[in-house]
Amino acid sequence: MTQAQDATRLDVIARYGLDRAERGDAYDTQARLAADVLGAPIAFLTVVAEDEQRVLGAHEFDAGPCHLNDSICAHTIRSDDVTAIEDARTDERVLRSSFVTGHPRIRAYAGAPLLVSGARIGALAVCDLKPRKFSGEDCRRLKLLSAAAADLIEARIGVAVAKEADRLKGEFVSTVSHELRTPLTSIVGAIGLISHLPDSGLTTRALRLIGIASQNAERLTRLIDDLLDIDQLQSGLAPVRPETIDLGQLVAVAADQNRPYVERLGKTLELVSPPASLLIEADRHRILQVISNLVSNAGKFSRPGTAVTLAAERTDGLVRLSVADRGPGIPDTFRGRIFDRFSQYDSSDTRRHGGTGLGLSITKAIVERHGGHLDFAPRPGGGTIFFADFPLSPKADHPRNRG
Amino acid sequence: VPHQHPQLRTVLLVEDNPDIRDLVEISLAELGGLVVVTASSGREALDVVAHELPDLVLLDYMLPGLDGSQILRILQNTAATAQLPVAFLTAKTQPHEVAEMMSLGAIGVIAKPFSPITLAEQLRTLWRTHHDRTR
Repeated sequence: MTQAQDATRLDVIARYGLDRAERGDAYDTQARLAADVLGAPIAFLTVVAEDEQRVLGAHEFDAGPCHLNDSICAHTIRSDDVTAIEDARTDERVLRSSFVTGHPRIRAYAGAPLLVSGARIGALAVCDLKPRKFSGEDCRRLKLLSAAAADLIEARIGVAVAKEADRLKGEFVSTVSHELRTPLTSIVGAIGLISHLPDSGLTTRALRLIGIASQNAERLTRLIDDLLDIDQLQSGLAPVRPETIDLGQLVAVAADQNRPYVERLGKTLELVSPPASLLIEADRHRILQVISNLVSNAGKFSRPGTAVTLAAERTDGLVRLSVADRGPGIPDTFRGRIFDRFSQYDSSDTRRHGGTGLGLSITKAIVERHGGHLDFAPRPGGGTIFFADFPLSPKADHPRNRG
Repeated sequence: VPHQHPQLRTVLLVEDNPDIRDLVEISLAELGGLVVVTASSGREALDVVAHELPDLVLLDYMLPGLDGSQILRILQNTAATAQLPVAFLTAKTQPHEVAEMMSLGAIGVIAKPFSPITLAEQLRTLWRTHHDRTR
């Protein structure tokens, strides 16, 4: 084997952490399958690392980590073909291996290299305790099985790599958000001070321009907040701290918090008095964020002078939170996209309503992190009802908590 | 004489970014009527408090050298400054980050970007709440 091949193998092993890979039941099954198909008492799946051989899966005999001098698979990875040894005692390459001279006294060996990410990183091997000749058919089958085992390893690597990529992306988004905030802090600070310092001496025209800059700096801040929030929620990095909470009590709190905002928009907020003991397992602050998002949307889209209705109720083992508006309803063409990031039905909405287009995506992500489901339906009589269904807390049916 | 609530008068601002340092100083001094002393690093801040104690420290969380949490710990472990109220000014705004900063013993966390118009009022509220609680 060339040095280049060695380097490639070690690089693949290091890159995917295969020298530290956990032994797995699925790998044991691959070994057992090879033993069965080739009618051999022993089989194993190995990784040949820089200075030792490691066992990923084994049937009947697990060598554990061993020195390369004892490894028979270290010879197998030198070619793409199956390495077959009829009697290990007479084979110069392996006769001094401790597995031949000592327990379990391997006599015959057949190993096919495991081709992972273009490198022969180890082998799927079967062994016999008496000398044996492996047929061409045996070798062909072993090669097929090693290809299947390599696929399994690659699939596991894929999952690990995807997880790592998610983590790195989350870290990146979080860092970018911090980095963007620093210049933004100076911009927001400077714009705010210009128009508020007593001696600014600005014309009405200049103040209007500063107003535009100020509103957009605020919008940029909200965008950064929302982007960070949705990224951390969807990548599972945002910690959600569930506790047993009574959604009925929480909607009452949320109604008080959100009423001033809705009233500033020229609408009212009515709370349907909730039944007792609507217990769910949820992060209180996150659920308040859900209610606040849904209520502010409803407030924006309701017709002037109408009411936004907030309710919580129990339905079929679920606890339902609902927010109804008396607005124009959601156009058919927009229904499929409503939860997409940055989707706003009318692009002038941004200016008129000041949203980022991320509110509903964030709301949906939060609800789903709680094992719930967010959806909407036309409100009978006009408007739209958004509802979030949460699983009822197991504690809800404790006699003391029954409503 | 009616009972007078003590007032927040002096703030030590610790911030490495010179633009933000100027903006906070203008906001607190010119709009907020507070006396502001500034420091651009933890070392400088510790020198300042060794000479004269402010009523409150507004501390950037991410500083080169000693960071905000380390500075807070040093203040807490020094007898003369153990009771000094500290609020963080930070670009770390996620709920779990804010919760962590509060758990270190800060009296409040001000998110960047902050509003320069209400900053002094925010600090006065935090300071009053803290003062009422510890009296």
